[in-house]
Amino acid sequence: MAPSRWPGVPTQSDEELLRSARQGDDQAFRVLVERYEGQVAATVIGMLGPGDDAADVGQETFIRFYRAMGNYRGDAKLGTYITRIAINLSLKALKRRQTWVRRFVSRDDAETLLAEPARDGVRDVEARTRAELVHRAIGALKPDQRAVVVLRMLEGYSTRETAEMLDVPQGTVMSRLSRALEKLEGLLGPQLGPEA
Amino acid sequence: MNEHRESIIRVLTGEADELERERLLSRLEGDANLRAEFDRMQAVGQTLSGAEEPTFGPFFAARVMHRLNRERASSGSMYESLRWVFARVAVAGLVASVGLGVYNTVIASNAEIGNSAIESALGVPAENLETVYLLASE
Repeated sequence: MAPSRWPGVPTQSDEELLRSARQGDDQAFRVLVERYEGQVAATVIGMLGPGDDAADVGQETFIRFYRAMGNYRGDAKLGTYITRIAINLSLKALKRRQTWVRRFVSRDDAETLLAEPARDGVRDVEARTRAELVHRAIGALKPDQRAVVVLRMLEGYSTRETAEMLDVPQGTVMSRLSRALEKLEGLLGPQLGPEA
Repeated sequence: MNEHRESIIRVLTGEADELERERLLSRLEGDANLRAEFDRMQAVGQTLSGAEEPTFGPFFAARVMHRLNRERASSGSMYESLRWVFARVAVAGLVASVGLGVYNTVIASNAEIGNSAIESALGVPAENLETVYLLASE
């Protein structure tokens, strides 16, 4: 659970906030949104790249969560439950994006579009931040590999948790991760390492 | 999948137990190719985790709440609209039924048909088995 933003002010637990939100307390729901906004951003932006598309999926994640609050029984951590909604919506958004690209964009342009998450058109590689390079590289992965990298490497979920969220065996998570890292190694190339 | 690579990933992500970690480290000392692969994987992991944390920008929670309120308002107004329509349809149906009943009763009394009040209101025809037999025999 995140610590209180204001020193001296006690932090309500997820359970308390959830109970209040279920009873119609909008302020409690807002605190939950603020608490899990970063986690959802890491998932959605990791999957879709930064941009309006990701922000829209991020909002939709919390709207879905609001509607499904009554079904949450506490079997998984609240963060895991919300991340699961976020990853499913991101995968659907990726599918829509790919369908759109296949229908309306030529094959050459499609490769560029799918490889590069939505971002302003700065082409100068030198000017890109590491985050942009990482998003660009992750954006070049297949959606199933991308989901594993985001959950396992960026968000730090265990292999078991990642497998549960994606509804695949743990071995599949490991093999997708292995292939993804191999590809990322080639894509990130000279930027590899903490000092790069 | 490559068994070594799986082990490398487990060690780098902190999922390997002490025994597996020790085993991999001892292998790395005697295998330059494996060491190189380990270093490359570690570099990828560090690059990923070293990336700046993404955010949705300022006022994200406010935007979510605004959208939620908008959706609630639109679904609420649709419910209210349907309620308004159905309430009026129900009243109109009741008035029409009463009007029809009164009309049937007046018609039946003017024609001096020997029906009960309920039969008259419902507009049930006056024919009974006897009158039907008489009509059939004419």
